[in-house]
Amino acid sequence: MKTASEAPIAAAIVEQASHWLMLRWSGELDQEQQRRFAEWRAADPEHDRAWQRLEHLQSTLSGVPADTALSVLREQPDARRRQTLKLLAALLVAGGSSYLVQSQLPWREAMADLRSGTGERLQRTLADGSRLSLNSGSAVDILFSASERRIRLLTGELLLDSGHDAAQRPLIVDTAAGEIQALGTCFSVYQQGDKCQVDLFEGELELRPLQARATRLQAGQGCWFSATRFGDIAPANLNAIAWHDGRLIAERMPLGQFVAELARHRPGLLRCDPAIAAVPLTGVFPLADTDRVLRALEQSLPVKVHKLTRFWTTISPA
Amino acid sequence: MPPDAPLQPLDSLYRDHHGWLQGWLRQRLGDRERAADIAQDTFLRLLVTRRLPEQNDGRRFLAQIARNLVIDQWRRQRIKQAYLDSLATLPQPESPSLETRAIVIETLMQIDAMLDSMPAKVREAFLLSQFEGLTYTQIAVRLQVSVSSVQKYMLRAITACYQVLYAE
Repeated sequence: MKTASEAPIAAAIVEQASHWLMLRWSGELDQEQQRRFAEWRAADPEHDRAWQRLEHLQSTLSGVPADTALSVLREQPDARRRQTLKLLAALLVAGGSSYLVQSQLPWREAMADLRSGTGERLQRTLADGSRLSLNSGSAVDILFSASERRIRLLTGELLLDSGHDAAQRPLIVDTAAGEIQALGTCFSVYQQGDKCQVDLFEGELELRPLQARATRLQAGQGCWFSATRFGDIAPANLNAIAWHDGRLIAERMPLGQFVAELARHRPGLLRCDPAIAAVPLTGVFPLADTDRVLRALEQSLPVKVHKLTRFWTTISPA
Repeated sequence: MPPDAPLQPLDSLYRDHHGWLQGWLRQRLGDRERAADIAQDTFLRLLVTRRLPEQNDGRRFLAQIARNLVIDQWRRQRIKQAYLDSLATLPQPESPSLETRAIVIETLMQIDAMLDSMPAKVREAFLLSQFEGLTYTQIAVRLQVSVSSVQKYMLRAITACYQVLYAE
């Protein structure tokens, strides 16, 4: 049985109480406001009960020394989502190589709403009609509510072709660097460490870094951003989303970059000798068969592919 | 839901989906024993909260609860470790008792859950206000937004905190 103090409080009253707390935290409540607050609190026992709950919240927050809270909860501002806890690696199941890949996933990604394995690319139509594609080794949480459509990019790369939402809820992609709000668009987001590369193909986007002023991108533009700053705006790179069609397109791409790109689509390690990393490469390659791509490299470039084990491949000068 | 919710659905839920849930968890965790523990805890939670899924929604419902349990476990482990690391820098006499530590870890878990339910900018504003002691004006400068935006963020933050403490 629920006691009176546990019974739910009307949302409108909670909202009023929250508003007062917000004003009090600002530390700028004048005498007139203080008086009105006291009046409000005394006007209804439910007001007082709501306020007591918020006082409990305040005591919870002050139950931890601020420096402890900051060092524990904040040291990496947004890292809690993408922190690469290798805990799962300790839980390998002997003999199952497919577990090897899976067991190295950080927990967030292992439990994500939608996740693509290495070498796997996914496409889904979301509840609002938006088409979401995930590149190899990517994970997202999909958080649609009555007031917004939010997609949390936990790791990797996505391509979003946003649908028309009858309820006109904002569509937001949440990344480690900040938020991206779509204004009726088709765009891709690639999260690499604390940076995000965004390429916009249709419509308009607002990029909102965690700690910098927001900026807008127009169709055909692309740039990277981090929590604190933006890179230069450049033409959006259509080749960068060829993965959507299962292809990797290189136009005078340095071999090192190409190999890093290809490595995203293969389990295990794929390394390129620095001595040949600058060799330029042009071509269209199928992602479905990365072994075939490696053989094609050997035929067209002065390189040799060494397979040390099934999961360890290096490319060196021939 | 009436206090004496029929247990029959839980029975059949268990019969129909327990094996599947364990397999689903094993595939994700790569650990048979933990998968079994969490599958068991999932049903235990249903028993305690007396919440049951709608017909045909059993698997999605179970997976959601199991997922939250796994995430909670990792969070607790991570927070505990980070907290113990932060204690290691304290001089010996200031080291809190085991009981205090347990309470702090619980509280950190709660605050972490609050932070996690906030959009990025809201979280940033909330941390700056509550743990760095910045005024709204200072936060506005730091985040390069207006003071009224900071007020909006803080209101959202309070709502998120309230939800964590008093949902249901």
